[in-house]
Amino acid sequence: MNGIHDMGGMEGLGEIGYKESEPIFHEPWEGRVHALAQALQLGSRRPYIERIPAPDYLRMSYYERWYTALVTQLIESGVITATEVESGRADPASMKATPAITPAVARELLFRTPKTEQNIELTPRFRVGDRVRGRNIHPTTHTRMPRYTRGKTGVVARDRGVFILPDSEQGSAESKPQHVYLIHFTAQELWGERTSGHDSLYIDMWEDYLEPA
Amino acid sequence: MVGRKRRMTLSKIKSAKQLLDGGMPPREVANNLGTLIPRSIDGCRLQAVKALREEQKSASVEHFHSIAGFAIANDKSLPFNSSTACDEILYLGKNNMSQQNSDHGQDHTDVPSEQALRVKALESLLVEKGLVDPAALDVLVDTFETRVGPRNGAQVVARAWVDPAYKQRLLDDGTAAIAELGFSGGQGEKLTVVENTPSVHNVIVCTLCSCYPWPVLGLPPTWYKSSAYRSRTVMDPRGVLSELGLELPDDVEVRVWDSNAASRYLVLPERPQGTESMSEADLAMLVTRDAMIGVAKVASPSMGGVS
Repeated sequence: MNGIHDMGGMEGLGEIGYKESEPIFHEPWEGRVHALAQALQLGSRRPYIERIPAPDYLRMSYYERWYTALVTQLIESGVITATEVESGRADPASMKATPAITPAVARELLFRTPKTEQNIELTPRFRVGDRVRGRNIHPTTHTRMPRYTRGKTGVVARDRGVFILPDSEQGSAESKPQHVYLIHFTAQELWGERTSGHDSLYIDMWEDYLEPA
Repeated sequence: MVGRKRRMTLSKIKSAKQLLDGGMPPREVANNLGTLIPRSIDGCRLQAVKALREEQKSASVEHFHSIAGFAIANDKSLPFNSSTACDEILYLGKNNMSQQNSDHGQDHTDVPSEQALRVKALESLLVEKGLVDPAALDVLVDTFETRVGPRNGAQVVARAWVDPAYKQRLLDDGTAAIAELGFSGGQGEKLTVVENTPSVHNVIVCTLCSCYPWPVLGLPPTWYKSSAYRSRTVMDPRGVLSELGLELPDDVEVRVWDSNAASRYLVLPERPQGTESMSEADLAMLVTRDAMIGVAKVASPSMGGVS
């Protein structure tokens, strides 16, 4: 969706606020939110983060967004109810689950490398060296195609393999596995004369985001 | 605490470990080395870190390094065949101390304490429903605070600097070469290492969210997730780098990597001059998080380690 999260190329969004070092979590609750999100294993939170209304998104800290998205995700996936969140108590009629993650599993969890690459043979539509253009699409839900790539021409630098199109739902009937390509754009193609003729940008694009140029 | 609080160095930690292993009582070892010992030292690394956090409340950076080093030396569970663990904990100490001494940045929105209460309430609810085990959450928090971080990436970079065959494997297949050093995990499925040279400078960003190579750099700093860094780096990388103190000549090609899919990027910085005789472990100490994101260069040691 054309949301506030799709920030590449915007100006006026405040200061970078650089610091040489800072704690991993600024407050203990940030660590708890991070750990909860890892432990619950509900899948990507990003579609839920992106649905946060823009004024709230900009006002919230990073982990406030995580918390908000996590609650929405838990409610929408039927794990908890809004009433339970409000009261802070479990509905007495609800079933008691068994935690998905024990401390022993937690010790290993963060060192397990996920495997989202699909072991499927698909004929790639594009080859390394092909000139391609970002399609002029405006999905209304989650997408990994930043708007700054639309209508811009680049060159396929690498074939990354086959992955599920994030715009389609993982595991659903419409789940679409397809090739992902590393695309090289010159900075001037994306941003015009304002940028250096030497500079460039690399980004991964799913096949559905591209057309031949 | 009285007396001079001397900074613990790796060689001192090593000596301390030898003396402790030889049976000398901790207090005597500390006296010999002119360092401090923490009030409670435990054999477990995580507990040692926790004890150190308690100590920190009143400690100076020097004091912290001193007791952290001692805890490491006394921790029988830590192998001393590499400086990794020590390096990591000293780094953690440095991070924590500088946080203590600084105000909240502009980009870190002030959070109402209500937020802490809301999170606590959510956790209690999920525990009551049997969905999470708080002890598992403790482990997850501790892992991120103590076991992953830029010290992992620094080891990868140092190895690539001293071992050309490793460097080639790293550039060909980052995930596999990084796994050789024992680093793996979330956000690490497709690690791509991009090399800085005198004519090419790489910089990493995630415009849509906060993608970052966790296995080698840990969790991203707040500024990396700031709206300003995310929005500006793709369009004006030179402006952003200059603001962060890195001026690049016009003829250097700047390559921006926007991490939006499964790929996560690590910059292999240029090895600084004057480091020809340095060991791999010492080289790793020079490598900073910022150099591996691509917003800084690795400074040569003669420049005092400041980028």
